Amino acid sequence: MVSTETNIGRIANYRPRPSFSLPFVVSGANVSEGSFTSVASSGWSFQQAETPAWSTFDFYVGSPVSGTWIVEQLNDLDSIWYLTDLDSQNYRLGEVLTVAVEKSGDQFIASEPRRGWFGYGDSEDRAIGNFASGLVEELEGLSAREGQLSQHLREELAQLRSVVIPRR
Amino acid sequence: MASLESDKVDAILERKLGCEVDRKTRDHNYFYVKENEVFLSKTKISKGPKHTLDNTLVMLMARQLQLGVAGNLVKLVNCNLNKDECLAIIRASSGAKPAAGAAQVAPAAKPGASQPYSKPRSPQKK
Repeated sequence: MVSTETNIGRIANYRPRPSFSLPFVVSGANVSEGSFTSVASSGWSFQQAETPAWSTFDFYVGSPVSGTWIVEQLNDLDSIWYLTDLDSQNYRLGEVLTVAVEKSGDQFIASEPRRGWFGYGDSEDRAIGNFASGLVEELEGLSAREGQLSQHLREELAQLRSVVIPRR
Repeated sequence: MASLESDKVDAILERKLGCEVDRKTRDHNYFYVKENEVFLSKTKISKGPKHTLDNTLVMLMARQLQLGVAGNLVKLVNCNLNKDECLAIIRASSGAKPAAGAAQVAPAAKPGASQPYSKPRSPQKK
């Protein structure tokens, strides 16, 4: 199978854990023990992500490829959560979401950078909780305004609807 | 490092940028940027006591608002960017057509804003 993607490198997860910034869209990544794809922001040419806690990390991008590795300071806290449920009576998740949690100032931020979704709070649990409730609130808020949305927000609503599924 | 106080951002988004604000939801207040009866972008602030929005949160909110970089949201809050300038950036970023007589500002602060989002493909090892 011919792929337009290019493997531009592999980094080892030595300490301190490096994060990387890429001035192009990461289309996917493989780690030594599975696939890790929810690391790239959507709609942005400048991407940021952090290496997961596996030993090696391969990454793939479309062409043309140019960029610079940036090794950044280790965050106070960074972890990956796999969100399987929204804790909502009315909605469930249509897919497992990979959510990165980091500490920024006084707040913990839970984010799914590929689609720009985030939530925050004064604890890791609260950040994840606000991330989950935010998906439902944003779905309902955009749905209520559906006839008046810009193209950008219509696309966001479609993305939310593909992930936040009404319970029958 | 950009950091802003949540109450100040709340007030600026509602009063200066003229956002439609939804405070009825349980966990967040939502701010919808509206022009000519069209919602261009939105962002949210967690409910609860006043808190500091650190650099990462300011960046995420600026991206949600289609303002590009964190610095543009800081400029808006610090009155170094007016409503028309913000709307011009948001319009350009979100692909909305300008209102009649509206200011035209290129979204130079957001590289790649015009690039369409493409869904990541399954990675292929070489």
